[in-house]
Amino acid sequence: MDRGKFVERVLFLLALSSISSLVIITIFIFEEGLPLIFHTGLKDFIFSSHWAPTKGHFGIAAMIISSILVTLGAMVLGVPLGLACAIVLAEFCSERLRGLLKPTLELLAGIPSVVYGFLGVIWLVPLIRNYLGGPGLSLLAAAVILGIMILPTVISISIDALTAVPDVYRDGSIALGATQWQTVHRVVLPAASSGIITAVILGMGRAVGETMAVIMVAGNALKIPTSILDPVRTLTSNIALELGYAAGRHREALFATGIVLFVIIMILNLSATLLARRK
Amino acid sequence: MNMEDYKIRLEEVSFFYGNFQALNNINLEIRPREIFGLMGPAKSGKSTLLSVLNRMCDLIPGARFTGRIWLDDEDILSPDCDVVNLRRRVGLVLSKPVPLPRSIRENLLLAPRLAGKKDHQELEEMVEKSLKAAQLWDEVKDRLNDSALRLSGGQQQRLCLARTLAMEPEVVLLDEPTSGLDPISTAKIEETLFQLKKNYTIILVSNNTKQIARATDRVAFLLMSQIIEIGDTPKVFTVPQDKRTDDYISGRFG
Amino acid sequence: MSRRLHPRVTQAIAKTLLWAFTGLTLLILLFIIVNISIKGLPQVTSSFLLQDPQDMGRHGGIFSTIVSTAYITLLAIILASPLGVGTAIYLTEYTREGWATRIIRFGAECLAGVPSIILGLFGFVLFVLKLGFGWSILSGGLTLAIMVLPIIIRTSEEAIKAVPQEYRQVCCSLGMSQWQTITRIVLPSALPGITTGIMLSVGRSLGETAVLLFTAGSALRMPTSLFDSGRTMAVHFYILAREGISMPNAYGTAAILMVSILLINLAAYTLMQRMMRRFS
Repeated sequence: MDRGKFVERVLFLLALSSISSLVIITIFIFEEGLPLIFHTGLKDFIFSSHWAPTKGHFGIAAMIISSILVTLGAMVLGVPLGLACAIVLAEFCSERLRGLLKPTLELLAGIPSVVYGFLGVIWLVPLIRNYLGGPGLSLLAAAVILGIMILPTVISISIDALTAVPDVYRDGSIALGATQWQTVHRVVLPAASSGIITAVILGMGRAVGETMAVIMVAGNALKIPTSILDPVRTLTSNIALELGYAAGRHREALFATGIVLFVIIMILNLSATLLARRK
Repeated sequence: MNMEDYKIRLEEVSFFYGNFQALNNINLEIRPREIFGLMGPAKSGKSTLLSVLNRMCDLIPGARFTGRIWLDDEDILSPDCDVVNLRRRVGLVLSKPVPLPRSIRENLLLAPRLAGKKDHQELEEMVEKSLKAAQLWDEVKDRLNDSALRLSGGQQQRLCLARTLAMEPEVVLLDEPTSGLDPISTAKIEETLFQLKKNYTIILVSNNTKQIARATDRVAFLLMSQIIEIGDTPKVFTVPQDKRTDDYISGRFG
Repeated sequence: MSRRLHPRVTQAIAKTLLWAFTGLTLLILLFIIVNISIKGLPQVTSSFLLQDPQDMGRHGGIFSTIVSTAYITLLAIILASPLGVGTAIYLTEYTREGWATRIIRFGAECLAGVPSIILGLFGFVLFVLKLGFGWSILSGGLTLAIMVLPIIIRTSEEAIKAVPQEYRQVCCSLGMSQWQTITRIVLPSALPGITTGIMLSVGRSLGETAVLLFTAGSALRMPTSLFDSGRTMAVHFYILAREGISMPNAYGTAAILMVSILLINLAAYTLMQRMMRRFS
């Protein structure tokens, strides 16, 4: 075999590393978690909110609901903020100011999640407790912190989507006498919509999957929340809180929780990929 | 003319990009140490023909060719052809000057080093010789270690020519080498080609008919992937045999 | 007819709101950085950096956690870099867009989306339990390598693609093989971008907690082998803060962590920008 072909084979093997990692991860998570789901039954596992590992009750409905609510809350805060930043940077900013603001905002992505969680505990939780009531550690606190944490994802993908809109659209609209804002909101945003939706979906994925910050501020109570001031436990925090000491069926149940999380994330990622491809 | 008296000989060469036929049954002989011109309008197949001559066409996905091309007595379209060696024998200068992001000296030494030349003295002589041949030596001899990216456009093109010459090729292919250059740089390149003719076989592609008329010994006119006319340059330019050649060189199209 | 605002008025309102939101985002960022720096940086003394933690981190410094962090990060980078750069070379230089590239890119994209807690679960069951590496530097480094792989692939691919296509033609015309072209011209030209990817991966590794809690463990001892458990700075900070062991030490650790990550990311960003400008 000549050298060029040999190099190509080796590189091909290296290139398979990411997809094979993904496959192996999937296999191991499912292998560890599926027995419990078969044992308990998918319906009971997902629709029961009775989680008492020592007594053999494994229902994660409360956590699924909490994860969804926390994520939606994060979207309510993070999407408008992130989209606003993206529009300002892509449309209303001089080249120089953008060169300054974009890397600055990207710094948000570098701040570790434990730091977000820590500041949430120190500043946000007391604020909620003192002004809104409840224990402070709550669905609201988690949603606010996650809303901030997804900003870099929402901002950077939305900016890409906005800058991908050809300038002729803008020029055409301005030439028809539209103001800059009318142009953005009637022409540019619709043209960039699939990219912006991708940004929102990936932001959701980020929020659903976040663990450490949520553990620190959400309160981790095992019940279905009735108010945004109630403490909640998400799928991710459930895994992280109990994995350290779980064994046997209990550990399997945590991997099963992982399966549910994994499936949710993969659905979100897949729809984002498909959406991006359609464009 | 003796049938054996050719450097390159194309026999029924056709070339396809996917379904598009870029060369249609080309037959052509190029003699040793002549400047052979290829002219024709855009997309007529001139550049494709060059890229087949040193198998640069292999880089293009979906490319296919048929026929034979003899370089001396070796068929360079045969699967057994050592393309790396072929590209050293048949050097190509692209239309856009592309200096590699290294020093002037490193640009020139890349190919000789890969060919296995190690002797320091010999390599230095090679640098000087090829720069002189490309008429660039006087302008850069004091700054051989400067980045090649800092040269002017005309200097960069002559550097690319020198870089090709440093491989010590037998044939030099030039693809519109002066398309982006000012008249003074263009004159310098043409003068250089005239000097190089003593040692090399040169094929010059240009869509500037005046340049072809000035600089080449013989010329072929390509139109829509086919050769319309081949002949001695003065003859083709004074008494073209084909009406389309006449139309092209008198500027009625192209 | 309904009452309508003049387009200019609408525009003024919209722009004010958008800028206000952007300002708010910047304020949040500023608040985080200033708060952690003001409370944390005064804690950072040479003895804080160079002493081992004592009494669960209540006293002493964070030296052993710095060492653990360095080992685990280094291991992850050493493992992930050849895989990531190799993938990028394959995707850009050796293959045309087709089913193979689609699968490889899809794998990298999905892997980038896998949350760290899932990676933690995976590393725990495969490396810690099945392969018997235990909670260790090795398990942590292996799992982190998978985590940063997509970052290295993406940035390296972008960097290699930014190298002008003409370079490859020129090298080919000079009789260079594809591999010679890659190693002598393409990779050196793309090096700043590849370095950027590696730096971003270091930044990501420094801040990671969920993965390491379940793969590298949280032993405070100085690790002496690949099979020793090691507590990284981020994990240390998490435990200090969550268990309320020592707020000053928590702030100090957070400050070092945050400042180093931000500096690394900023440097990485600048490097990539400079390289892109050079080739455009």
